[in-house]
Order: sequence, then structure tokens, then C-alpha cells
Amino acid sequence: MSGSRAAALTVIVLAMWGLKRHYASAGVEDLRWILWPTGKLVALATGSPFEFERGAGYMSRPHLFLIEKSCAGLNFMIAALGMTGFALSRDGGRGVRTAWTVGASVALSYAGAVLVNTVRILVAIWLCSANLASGWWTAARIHRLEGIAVYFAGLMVLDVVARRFAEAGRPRGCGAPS
Amino acid sequence: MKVPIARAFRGASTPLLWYYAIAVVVPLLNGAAARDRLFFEHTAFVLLVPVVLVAVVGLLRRIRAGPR
Repeated sequence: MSGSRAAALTVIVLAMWGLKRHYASAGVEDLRWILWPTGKLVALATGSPFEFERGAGYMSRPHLFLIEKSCAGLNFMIAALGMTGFALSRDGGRGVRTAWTVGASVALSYAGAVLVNTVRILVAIWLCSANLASGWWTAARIHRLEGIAVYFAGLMVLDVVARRFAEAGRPRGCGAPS
Repeated sequence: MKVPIARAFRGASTPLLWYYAIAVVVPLLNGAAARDRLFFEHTAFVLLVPVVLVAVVGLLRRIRAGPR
């Protein structure tokens, strides 16, 4: 492993650890940096506002839906940060390239977390209104199943995007025989 | 039948690894199994749902490719 890749991965692993620590101790007020854009996008898609309620999260009264701390998508962002960081740092490079790897990984994982979480919440709102719960399949279990499916599908998409990014940023050799 | 499913799992191996690491391994290391009585049910969902999704994607690809 090159020194610059090790440096990039060290920064990324420290960022993942920092995010996990932050998430463990943060109140909903501290998570507005990720809950606010998610709430705005969900409000835009549903056409009904999500208002911030101190100590609770972003609440939609028409949908009776609360975007709370556990809905922040922080664990998704941490997984996405590690995955994109490892994919983008594969080619090594120095200086600016290392900074680009870290910056792109953070940007991709943040944007991915907000977008995937928005989709997850929109599907959850639709599932709530569809009233599918019956027997063993309680509303909580359906919500869990949906969350896992959307988050995993989101990671799959982000993996493809990160590979494309890595491909685009890869230095090309010239004069290769065709 | 086996090849498209195997290919789907190969393609999904990186996201699977990261998802399992963050959603199962980290909480286990933090002692969630002892604290949260719903942890095992949650873990079963986390382990099974992605596998079923990848298998379905592989099957759909096989069906779309048609008989050989």
C-alpha cells in the first residue's frame, strides 16, 4: 500500500470513527446538518412541510410522520464513507490526489446518505398510508424491512458511482497499443 | 441458473461487506446484543434482506437473458 493511500484511508477511518462518536452522543439538534436537507427534500416530494420540533426532529403533521435521530442515516453515511474511500483511494497518488480522495468520499457519502434516506422516508410514508401490517408483519417490521432494502440498494448504487469516479480520476497511460 | 446469481453476489460483495460491518459487526462490538433484546431479530433482517435482494436481481438477469 502506498503512503498516500494509507494517509487517505487513515483520515477516512478517523472520520468514520468521529461520525460514530458524534452520532452516539448527539441530540436531534446536533444532527440538523443531515436531517435538515433530508426533511427539505421529503417536504418537496410530498408537498407538505416538515417542521423542526425541538428534542424530537422534523415533523409532518399531515402525514403524522417524524424524522427523528434514528432516521438520520448516519450509519449509512459511515458505511458509504468507508466504501467510497476504499474505492477512490485504490489508485494511490500524492498530495492533491489524496485530498481529492478524502473530499470526494465525504461529498459522495453525504449526498448519498441524504438522497437514499429521502427515498427511504418517502417509501415509508407510502407504506404507512397503505396500512399493510397484519399478523407477524407489524408496522415496525415492515418499516425495518423497507429501511434495510433501501439502504442496501443505495449502497449498491453508490458503489457503482464510486467506481465510475475512480475510473474517471485514474491517470491514463498514453500510446498504449490498440 | 447458477452463473448469473453468482455474478450478482460477486458484484454486490463490496456493499454487502460494508453494510454487514456497520449494521452488524460494529453494534456487536459495542455490546448491542446484551443491551437490546430486539438485536437478534434486527440482525436476522439485516443479514437476510440484502442476500434475498441480490438473489432476486441475479434471477431477474437470468430470466431476461433467456434460455441458452
